[in-house]
Amino acid sequence: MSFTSFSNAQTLTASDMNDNFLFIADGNRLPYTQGAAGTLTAVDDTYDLGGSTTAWHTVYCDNLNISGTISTTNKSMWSKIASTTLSATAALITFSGLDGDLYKQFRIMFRGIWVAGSVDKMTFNADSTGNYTSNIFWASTTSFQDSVNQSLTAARFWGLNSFLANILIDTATGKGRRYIYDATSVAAGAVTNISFGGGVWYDAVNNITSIEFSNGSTGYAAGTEVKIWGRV
Amino acid sequence: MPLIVFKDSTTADAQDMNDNFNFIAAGSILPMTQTSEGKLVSVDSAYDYGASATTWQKLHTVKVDANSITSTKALWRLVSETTLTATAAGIEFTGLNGDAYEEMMLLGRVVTDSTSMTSDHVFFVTMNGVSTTSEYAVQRVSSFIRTVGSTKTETASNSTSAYGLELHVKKTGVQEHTATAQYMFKTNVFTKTGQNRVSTSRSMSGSATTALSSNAYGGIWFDTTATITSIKFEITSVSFQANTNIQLWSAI
Repeated sequence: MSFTSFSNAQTLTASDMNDNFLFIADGNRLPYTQGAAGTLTAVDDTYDLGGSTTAWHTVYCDNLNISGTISTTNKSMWSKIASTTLSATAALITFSGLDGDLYKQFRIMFRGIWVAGSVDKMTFNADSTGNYTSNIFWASTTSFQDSVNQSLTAARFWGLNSFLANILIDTATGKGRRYIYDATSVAAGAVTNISFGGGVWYDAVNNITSIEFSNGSTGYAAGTEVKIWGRV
Repeated sequence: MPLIVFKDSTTADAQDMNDNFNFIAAGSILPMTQTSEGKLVSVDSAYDYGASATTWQKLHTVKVDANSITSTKALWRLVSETTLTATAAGIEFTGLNGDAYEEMMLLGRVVTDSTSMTSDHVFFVTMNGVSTTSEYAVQRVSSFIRTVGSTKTETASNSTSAYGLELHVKKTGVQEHTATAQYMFKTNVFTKTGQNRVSTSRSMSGSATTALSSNAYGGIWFDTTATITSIKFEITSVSFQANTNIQLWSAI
């Protein structure tokens, strides 16, 4: 059915009138704009459903398909704000254009594959001037160790070889940039290491705008995946 | 363009009719209510889009701006957040429903006092106001340093009684009691009745320039029948200071 734009002195058929109501109300609801000669044309990413001062109370839907962003009052959701999957080996994985004050905290899912490495590291705002401390603990199948270091050139976490690491970072200025992490390393169907720990970036003043990951050697292999979530 | 209210025994202009269709269908779709004059005006948070028994199949949108979002446990939502502005002995979240949430997550940034310590100070969470130590058990692994520059120490412990679901220990004689030391933790708890109320925690303490300790905890509350309606974050012997921030998240 189509939408009919009426003209004066035109004799309407009941069907035309009925079709117009059905065009608007029946079936899938699309965002429309008024086109030429008063017709209604569906448009993409132009109009809102509700307004900032005239909100719908509850939206009921089975699937919510969002191609952009979510925002809530009180930053009460976690939303993915950046991600990358390596298609080739990379010595560094860098995320720029971040805003630590806006998101308050970052949760990072790091599924890493070492080409070769010594320990996983992250720096904030490209600061590699000895402004980090870490306390990390790791256990292999036969032993466990820990290390405490100050004045490091990067914040440390230890994934090792092929690993999954979860990292939580306080990113707001003025609060102390502490992080905690846990990681599990696997090889050939077995868990080879587990690790956990935390640390501090000494800088509590500058907004975090970038994070760079490295592993002290040739870096990460294709397939390595990093996702950063922020409070929205 | 405003909505034209048609009247009996009048000639309707075709453009008015077209405009009414466009008023309803073109541009942003706002929730409307009818005034006494028969006009449509937009209103805030009064009407639903779809209904619980007649849902839209998909909502395609570039952005979502909402006060709250629920789903079939597909998202994490902030249930409550407290930032202390003054000293407090504990932070309690009430009005909860552990069965509805199934799993909860506590995130914390903690400031404690800097007084001399004569005993370990344990951070823990109690459920439903239950503080009987025999109701909880805990196991932990810790790595800490006693003074900056000193040798690190590892400890492990297992106890069949605990203050609650323990998540950090501020050790006697450890540099953690310095005024600048702060603490960060993440605790996940399975909260549904009929299941073990198991927790896992990671925590660390750090001064401005030293990572003083890292800890991994596992805990259990033995009660599997009572619905969890409150969770209280506490510490032994001392109090939490201003700027302590505790967030309670749940799957929704």
